[in-house]
Amino acid sequence: MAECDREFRLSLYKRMMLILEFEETVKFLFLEGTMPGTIHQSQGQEATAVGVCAALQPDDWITSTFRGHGHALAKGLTPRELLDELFGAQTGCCKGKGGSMHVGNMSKGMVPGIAIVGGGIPLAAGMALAFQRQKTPQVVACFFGDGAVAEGAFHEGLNMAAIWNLPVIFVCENNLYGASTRVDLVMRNTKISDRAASYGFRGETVDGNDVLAVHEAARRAVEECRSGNGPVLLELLTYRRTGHSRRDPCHYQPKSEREEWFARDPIQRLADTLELDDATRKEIRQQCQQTINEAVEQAKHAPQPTAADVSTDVFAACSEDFSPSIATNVATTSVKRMGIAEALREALAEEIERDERVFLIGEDIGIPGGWGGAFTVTLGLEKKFPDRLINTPIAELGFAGIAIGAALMGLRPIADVQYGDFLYLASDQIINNAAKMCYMSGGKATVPLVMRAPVGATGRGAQHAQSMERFFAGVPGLKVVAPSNSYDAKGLLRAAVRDSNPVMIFEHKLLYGSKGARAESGAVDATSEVPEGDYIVPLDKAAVRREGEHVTILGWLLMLHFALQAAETLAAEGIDAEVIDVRSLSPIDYETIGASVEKTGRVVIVEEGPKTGGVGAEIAAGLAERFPGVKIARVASPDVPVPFTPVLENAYRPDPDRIAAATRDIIGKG
Amino acid sequence: MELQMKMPDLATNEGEEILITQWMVEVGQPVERGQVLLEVETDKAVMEVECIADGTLKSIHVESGESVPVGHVIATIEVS
Repeated sequence: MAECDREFRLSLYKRMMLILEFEETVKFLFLEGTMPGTIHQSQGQEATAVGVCAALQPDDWITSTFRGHGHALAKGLTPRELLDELFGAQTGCCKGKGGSMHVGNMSKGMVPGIAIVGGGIPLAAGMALAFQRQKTPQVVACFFGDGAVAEGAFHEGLNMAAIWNLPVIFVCENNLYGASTRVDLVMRNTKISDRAASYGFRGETVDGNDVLAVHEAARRAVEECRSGNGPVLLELLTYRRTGHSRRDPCHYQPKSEREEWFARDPIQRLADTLELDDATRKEIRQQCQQTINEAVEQAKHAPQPTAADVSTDVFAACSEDFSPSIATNVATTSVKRMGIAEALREALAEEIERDERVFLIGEDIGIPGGWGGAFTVTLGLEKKFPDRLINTPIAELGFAGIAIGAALMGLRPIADVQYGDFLYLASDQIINNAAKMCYMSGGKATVPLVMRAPVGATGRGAQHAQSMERFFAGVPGLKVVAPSNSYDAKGLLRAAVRDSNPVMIFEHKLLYGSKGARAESGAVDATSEVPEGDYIVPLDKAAVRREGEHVTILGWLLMLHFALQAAETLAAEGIDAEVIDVRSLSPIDYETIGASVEKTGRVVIVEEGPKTGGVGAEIAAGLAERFPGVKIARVASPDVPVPFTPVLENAYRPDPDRIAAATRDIIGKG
Repeated sequence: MELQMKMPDLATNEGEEILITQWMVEVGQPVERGQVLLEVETDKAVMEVECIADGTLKSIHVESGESVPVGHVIATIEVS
């Protein structure tokens, strides 16, 4: 332990003291009402943050939680950038958009804190996956509390880190309480490090109030991870001397227990080990106080954002790959007619070949003898690109988090769920992490993730058939598209891969054109001519599919095809309908749609999925606000779960007859 | 230097006044940061309020049994 000489130990002492002084100062600033929001503090837990981070290199990474001030200071963030953030200033480490629970700094190896207790665990595994794939020697230390152990994210993240030997140190700060609930009330085996063995890797329980012991354990864990023998689970036993949050007087902590742990205070213990005299202790404390006090004074006068900043940093600036030289509509003689599954497969292959950062991740996507995902989209790619397809356990939350973590570290993952319905499982990672990371970090973190999901009622009953786009179209920070033909499928997927933001692509099971055992009964022909060569379809544009004068019909996915069929029926009756493929569900292209409804004065919005709370409801409201004179009607499914038996499923799914009837109604020819 | 200590924001409901039940330190006595200075009662619980600096308790502005809103100055600390 050559580096653990006196000077090194003294640096650990100073860093712990800085954290304590920071936390105490912040506590009083909050209590006297000087600072907005709430706080979760770490007094008493200084040794876990400092001991672990001292074993890391500057280009290693950490993930943290809502209790992240100590981790941030230990990783090298300055008191100034943290205090500015806590005061909500523009000069804060997240430009005032993150706050106490989301402090981080992407240039100092700390992603914004993840305030969903287990949410950082799969994310950290994904960051480690990026390091492994890029063959860099970096590791990630993932901090979380004992409360996170009961969450599914813990299981899914640890399991995947284990099967792929990822360089991640899972650091469980076991402070005996998840909020106010004692650890033995929520687990029978309270030795958390035991969990590691069940995943097949090493776990260790360490005195988390002994910074030297923590550092030594972390140093060993880092070494194992760097040499390809990760992951490692460290359980650090420690104690929170302050409330869970600012108004918590800790009445649930027995007095005797508190006193017992106070006697084992990590800062005192190291001072005793170092035999620091009182004068030295006082001097170090005063130095820390002075640093903090200066930072507080500056933070109080730091520039606040203006109201106009509320809508900046939602999305990252788009990638350089969107150069104007890439035509969005290629005129070429070399075209091939193909189905959507095949077009997607081509796009995946071409993007994999074009960009070494691209990889695919999902269930059953590249198993020799398998199906190429649930709908043959990736069929055969495993032979061509064996190291670019990652088959996952059945763990949608986990692999979504892993994809997001890898994207945060600069890779371009394309994840897919077998059925859109499974997105509910992954939605914490997609909505709380992927969609918000850019904003919470003040525009510093980017998540270039593509998530594909099949939707639509197809003889599978209530849990493999829902139209999921409604749940994501209203999430700020996500782009949502839904292709209805092969040309769009390929162009949108390419655009999504090259975008620097998370993009959800919803695909309809009846439009894939999958063959063989995966062919769908009731499938609709969505083949189209697909040119050879590079092209993209913009992620924010609707497309007019049929021009008409009397009424506008809006649809996407399967409903677009049914709307076109209805338009032909209506044409025979003298009704000239304009049909628009909405295609981009977030953002909605009100320019294209608006030009049409201004011309026709009437719009029928068609959606597969319950009428209440659908994307159609949003479009109706958006049009009513922008074009008050336009008559609006909706055709959607009844407000019921998707039924199984064909007679009921047909009653659920809007069809050309219903669309035609609603269209006749709106123009008074019903 | 004098420091004005304000009633901390401990209540669970916005706008609630907080009742001072007991002062734990007499005026003129030395105090340390983190030392319990007074007890208050909110709509949630009886809680201790800690002193915010090292020094001397110079004066008390709100007596036991009185309620004040959050942010109201309750004591002056002569900082050492």
